[in-house]
Amino acid sequence: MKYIVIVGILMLLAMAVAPAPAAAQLKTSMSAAEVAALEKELYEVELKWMKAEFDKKVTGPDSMGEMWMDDFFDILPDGQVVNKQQMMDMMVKGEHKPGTGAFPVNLKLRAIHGNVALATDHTTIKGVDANGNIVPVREMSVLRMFVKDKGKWRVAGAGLVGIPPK
Amino acid sequence: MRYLWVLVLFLLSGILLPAPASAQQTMTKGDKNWMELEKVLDDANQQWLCVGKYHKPKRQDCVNFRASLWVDQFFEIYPSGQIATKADMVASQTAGAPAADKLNPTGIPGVGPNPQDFKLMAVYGDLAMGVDRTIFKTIDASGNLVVTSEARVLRIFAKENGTWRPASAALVGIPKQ
Repeated sequence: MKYIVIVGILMLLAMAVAPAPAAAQLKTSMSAAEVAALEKELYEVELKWMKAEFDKKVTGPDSMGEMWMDDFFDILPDGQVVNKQQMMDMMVKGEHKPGTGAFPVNLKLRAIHGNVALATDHTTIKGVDANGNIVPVREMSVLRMFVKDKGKWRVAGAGLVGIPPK
Repeated sequence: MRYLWVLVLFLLSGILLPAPASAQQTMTKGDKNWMELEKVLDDANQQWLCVGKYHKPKRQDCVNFRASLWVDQFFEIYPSGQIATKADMVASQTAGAPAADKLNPTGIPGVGPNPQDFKLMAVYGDLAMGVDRTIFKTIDASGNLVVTSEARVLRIFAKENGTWRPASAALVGIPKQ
């Protein structure tokens, strides 16, 4: 009896020390409701991501520095690849007038692999025309990558595919 | 000695538990493991696109081969912005196979996508993200290989049952200079 108790305690200890495997952190066969809930959660992260870029917020809660993984990278619509620091520098240098910026819609969860979620959306970039009006300047299909890090969804990067004008 | 079997059971319980994602990611950018994984994924990329030693003279053979590699959740964003699932891509590439073979009846290597400069960008557990520059070529009226377009491609791989498999891609067209 004494040995059973010792073995039980040791096995519990071993299980507590070993973190849960990635596959167990997120179900790969999710119900429609679970998918919808996760899409909503990721879209909220995405909106904070866009706001951090627009507000040029590089540190603190909901900033680019906090939300983006260290290995964050983007492929920009011209094919340029930028890392986290380069992207933050670009955002800080840019001129952001109210009403301009990136406006994503229709985020769709496409795949889940362990603690990584892959999603797509349609993003419109709005800018200012010669008359000072806010107008759409670019439409894109975007592959957005999210990582669940210490229980929180963070941003791993994106591939921004420009949609040619019709 | 009498507690030895208890110790053995303790060690076994640790072994039987699946390895956590964080333990699988025992690499940092640029180190030996990173560079080795980059090579493995570069090779997986060559397989995905049926290039180099994985070239298939018949287009349908390539479609079947890559379909066997793609994970079930595979999807791709084309340079046009269109999003296609694995089923969409297998169907469209199968439909286009006869025309591709007619254009290239002898199966000259190099027609289609040619990935270059693959670079591993990030690894999260059993998911790896990389980028490459892919040059698309066709055969002109004179029978010469010519470049039709180029793309910077986000390539994502998932490790399933010990093998890295293509999980997704986004093809960002590079404007002609």
